[in-house]
Amino acid sequence: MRNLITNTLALLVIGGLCGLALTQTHQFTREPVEANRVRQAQALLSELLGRQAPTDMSWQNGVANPCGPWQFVRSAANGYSGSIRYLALLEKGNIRLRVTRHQETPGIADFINHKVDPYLPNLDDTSIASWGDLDNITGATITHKALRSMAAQAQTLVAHQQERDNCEQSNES
Amino acid sequence: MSHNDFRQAAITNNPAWMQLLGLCPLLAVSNSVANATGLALASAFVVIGSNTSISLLRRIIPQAARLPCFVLIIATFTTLTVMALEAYAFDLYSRIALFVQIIVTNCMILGRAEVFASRQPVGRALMDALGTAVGFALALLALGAVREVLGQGTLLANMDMLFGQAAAQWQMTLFPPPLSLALLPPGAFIIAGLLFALAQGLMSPSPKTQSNTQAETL
Repeated sequence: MRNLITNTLALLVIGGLCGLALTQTHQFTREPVEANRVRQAQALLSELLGRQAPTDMSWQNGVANPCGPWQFVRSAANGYSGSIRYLALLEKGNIRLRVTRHQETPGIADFINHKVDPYLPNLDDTSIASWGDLDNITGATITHKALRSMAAQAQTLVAHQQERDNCEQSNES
Repeated sequence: MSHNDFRQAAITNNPAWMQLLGLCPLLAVSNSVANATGLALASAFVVIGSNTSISLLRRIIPQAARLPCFVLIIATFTTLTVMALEAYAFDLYSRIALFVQIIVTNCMILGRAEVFASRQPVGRALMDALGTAVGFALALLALGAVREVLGQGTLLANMDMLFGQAAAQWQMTLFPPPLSLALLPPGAFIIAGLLFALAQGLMSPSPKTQSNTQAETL
């Protein structure tokens, strides 16, 4: 019994010290990390749009600018090793898509990393209708299936948001 | 004693070419000197921090739950490294984050914690950690340099990701890439095998020395 109490106290002390170190470091690094993420996101938005993206866009349910001529969508699909987060630009029935975060197998799934492989940039402006029919990539079936599902998912998210915001009425008026 | 601990950990029992530990990140990230340096620094911070902490806490770490405690401490240092990289070396973080995160499962670090740091005073644990970090860095940098030269025809490219804009000047463009295979996983295995064999060959005693030792023993 005494051993159990001693061991539990020891574990609590070690866990507490580790937790303290993590929370303090998080406080210290939170601002630069956030600034880096915003900078990276803004650069990616501008890359997709082909010009400087507005900095004051409001995101609702993963969709930005739902009633405009183009829409940004950020969402995720299930890959081989968890969710694959992506950012997509939908414009005139076409899509440009980049993966922003994933945990797929390095080497095998490198094609979804636009910094390593030009696979996704080469697909820029593919029509949303034909995105789901892209040729599979051998060895990365599940990752590619997730990638193929993203265009339809993004389109659905935009449609739902447009419905919520009554975009047709606001465009007509 | 401490000097001997350092030499043992860095050279005689080098984690890479003698014990073949930590090969997953070693092979995956060593496609350039910049990436290799990033992982070497991250691994060094984790192994030095965890070895020192485990040695300091060795009297209160319960014997029955020592492995979860070691993993908790190593995971803490790994997470601290990831946070620091994401804050201050974001480009490098984008490239090697996955491999930094799996430092937590690197058997080289857990091995030093279990075999050495949990049984020795802080001074010796620190020297052992320094030796392990230097040994792993030597293997990473050697592999990174050979693969970058063969695969890209450059040396010290993209060092600005780690050391700021001034380091962009360090890049040396040597010749057109002679062997792109060096950048791919099979190339990593082949080059690592050759380098490890070379290191072991250089370190093994010559037959003459060996026979003299045997004669003396007889």
